[in-house]
Amino acid sequence: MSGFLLPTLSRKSDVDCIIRDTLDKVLLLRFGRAADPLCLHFDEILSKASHEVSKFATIALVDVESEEIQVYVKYFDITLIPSTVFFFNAHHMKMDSGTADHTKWVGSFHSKQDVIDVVEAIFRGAMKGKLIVSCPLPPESIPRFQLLYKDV
Amino acid sequence: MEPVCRTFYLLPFYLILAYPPPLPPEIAQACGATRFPSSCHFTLSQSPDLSPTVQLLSAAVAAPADALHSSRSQAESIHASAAAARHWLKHLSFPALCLSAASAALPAECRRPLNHDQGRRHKYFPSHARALAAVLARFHGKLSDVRFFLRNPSSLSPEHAVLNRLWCLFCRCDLRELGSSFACSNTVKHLASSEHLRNLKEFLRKHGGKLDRVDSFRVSEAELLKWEKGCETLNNSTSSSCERSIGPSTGSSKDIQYALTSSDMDNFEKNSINSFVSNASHSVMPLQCPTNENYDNEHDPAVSASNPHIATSWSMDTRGNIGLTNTYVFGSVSRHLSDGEPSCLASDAKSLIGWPLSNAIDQRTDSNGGSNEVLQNSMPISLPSEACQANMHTGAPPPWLEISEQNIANKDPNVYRLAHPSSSSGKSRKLNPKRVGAAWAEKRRTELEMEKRGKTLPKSCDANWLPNFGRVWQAGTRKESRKEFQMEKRKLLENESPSGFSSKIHPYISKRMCVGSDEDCVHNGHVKENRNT
Repeated sequence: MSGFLLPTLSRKSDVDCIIRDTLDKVLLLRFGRAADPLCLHFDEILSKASHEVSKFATIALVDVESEEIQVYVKYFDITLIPSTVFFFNAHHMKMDSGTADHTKWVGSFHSKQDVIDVVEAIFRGAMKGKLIVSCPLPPESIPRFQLLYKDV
Repeated sequence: MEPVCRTFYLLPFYLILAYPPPLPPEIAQACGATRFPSSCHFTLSQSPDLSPTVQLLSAAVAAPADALHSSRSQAESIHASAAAARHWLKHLSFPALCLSAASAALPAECRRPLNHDQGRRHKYFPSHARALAAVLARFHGKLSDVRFFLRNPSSLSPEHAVLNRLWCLFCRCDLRELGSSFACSNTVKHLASSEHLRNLKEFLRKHGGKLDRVDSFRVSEAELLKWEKGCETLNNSTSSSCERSIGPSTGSSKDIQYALTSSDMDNFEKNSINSFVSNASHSVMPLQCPTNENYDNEHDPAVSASNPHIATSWSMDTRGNIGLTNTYVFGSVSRHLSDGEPSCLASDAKSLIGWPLSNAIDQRTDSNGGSNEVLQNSMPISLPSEACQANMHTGAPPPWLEISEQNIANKDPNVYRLAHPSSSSGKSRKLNPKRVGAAWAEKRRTELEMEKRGKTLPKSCDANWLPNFGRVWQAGTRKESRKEFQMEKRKLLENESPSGFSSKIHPYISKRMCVGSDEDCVHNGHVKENRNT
C-alpha cells in the first residue's frame, strides 16, 4: 500500500529515463527495499506527500536489491537505507542538513510536511540556480547516522 | 316669569308656533328659544302636566347660548386661518411659477435631475453641474448609436422603423423613423438642422453647459454629405445587386467595405479607368487600385489591349482575388491594394478568396447593358486549381507556421520554439533561465517534442549513461567524479574478466629503486601496466 501510487524502478534504464525526462521538477529517488519496515514507513509518508508536491516534484522508489541498480548504489555511495537522492533537470541537488553526507537524505521523515518542506526548499534553490540548499527542518527532525569510509 | 321674559326679550330669536294647542304665551316664547320650537311646543302641549319651571326653560335656552359662543369663536378662528392660508398661497405661487417655467423648458425624462427652486444661480451649483453632466452623457450615449449609422449607412426595414425612436433633449421633440428607408435617417437630418443647433446652444447657455461641446451633439454638414453619399451608394447597390451575393449580405451596416468605398471614392475618380466609368453603371464598382499585373486573360487577349485599364482593374489575381468592391468581402483587398502594390493580396501559395469571377458576373443583374457589355469584354478569369489551396477557412495553418516547420526540419531550435509555443515551451519561457539545468531542460524538451512528432533521433543515452553526481568521498567537479567512477567501474570489469589480470596488489616502487632490482622492476612494470589500463 505504501508504494501503491509511487512508481518502483528496478532497471537502470528506467532510472535513466526518469532522471532525464523529469524537467523543471524535483526528482526524489528513494533507494531502499520494499520489505524493510523503515522503508515501508518512509514510503507511506512519501505516498501521502506525493499529491501535495506533484506540481513541482516527482517521487519514485528504487529497489536496491535489483542487479541493474547496483551501479547506481555504488555511484551514489548508498550504504544506508532508506536513502533519498534529489535531482533537478538531471542535475544532482545537495542539501546541507548538518550531517556528514550532503549528497543524499539518509533515513526517513517524521511526517509528510517534512517531505514537503524539504522538497520545496530544494525546488526553490534549484530555481535560483543553487546546487546545494540548506535543510529547512529543525535538527530534531533530522535522522543521525555515522558515515564510515570503506568500513573504516 | 319676569326674568324669563327678560331673557327672551334680550335674545333675538324668532318665535314660531307651528301647531296650536293653545299654550300660555310665556311657554310659547320659551319653545321658540329652542332649536326645534315646534316639537317643543308640541311636546309641552301634549304634556298633561303643563307646568314649565324656570329650570326647564333656562335649560332649554342655555345650551344653544353656550354653543353659540363657542361656535362664534370657532368661526372667527377659521376666518383668521383662512387669511393666513391666502397669504402663504400668495408666497408659494412664485416658486411654482418658476418650477413650471423650468419644467416647461425640459423634457419629461430630464426634469427630475434638473428641477430646482434656486433661481438662475442654480446652474453654478455643483449638484446642478453633476445632474447636467449626467443628462448630457446619457444623451451622448444615445447619439453614439446614431453616429455609428452615420458612418455606416444601412437600410432600415419597416418593422424595425417603428422601434427606432430618439427623444431630442434640446429640441424637446420625439424623433421617429417611420417612413424612413435608412437607419436613423430622420435623426441624422434633425441633428444636422439649424433649428437643432439653435436649440442646442440655447440649452447649453441656459443650463450652464460648455459651448465647446456643441459639435458632439450635432451632425456637421460634412458628415451629413458623407452619409448621404453612402445612402446613395447603398441605394444603387441595393437596386442592382441580386438575391445571391458574394460574401456578406448586401446592406449590412457593419461591413467595412462601405467605409473603404466611401473613402476610396476620390481615389477611384483619380484612377485612369475612364473607359470603364463611361460604360459601367454605378452598380458595378471595379477596383480602385491596380491589382496584380500577372493577369492571365486566356479567353480574350484583345481585351487587355483594348481596355488596359479595365484589365488592370478587374484583374484579379489569377489565384483568386476578385476585384468587386460592391461585394463587401473585398474591401480589405482594395485597401491593401490602394497602397500601390501590384502584388496580389493572396499569399504566394494560397488564395485569399477563391470565388471565380464568372459566378460574380452571373449574379449581377443587368441594370445597365453597358456595364454588362464591359464585363463580358473583360472575360472571366478561370482560376487554376492551385487557387483552391487550403486557406484559413479550410483550417490550414498560416504560411508563417509553414516556414517555421521548414526551419524545424533544419533543426533550428530557436525557430521551433517560437513557432510552436506549446505549453511546455511556454512554461520554460516563464521559468528562470538561470535555474539549475536550464540548458539541459530546453534541450531535452526539444528532443521530446521531436520524438513526439515521430522523428527518430540518434540515441544519446547509452546503457552506461550516468548523471553528474557529487560523490561523497571525491573532490573536484561532478564531471570528474563521474569520470572517476566510470574508470573505477571499467577497472572492476577488467579485473573480473579472466584476461591475465592479476588481482594481487603490489606496493609502489619508483623507477630509481627499480634500477637496483630486476624483480622489483618486473613488479613495477606490472603495476604500471595496470595503471595505464
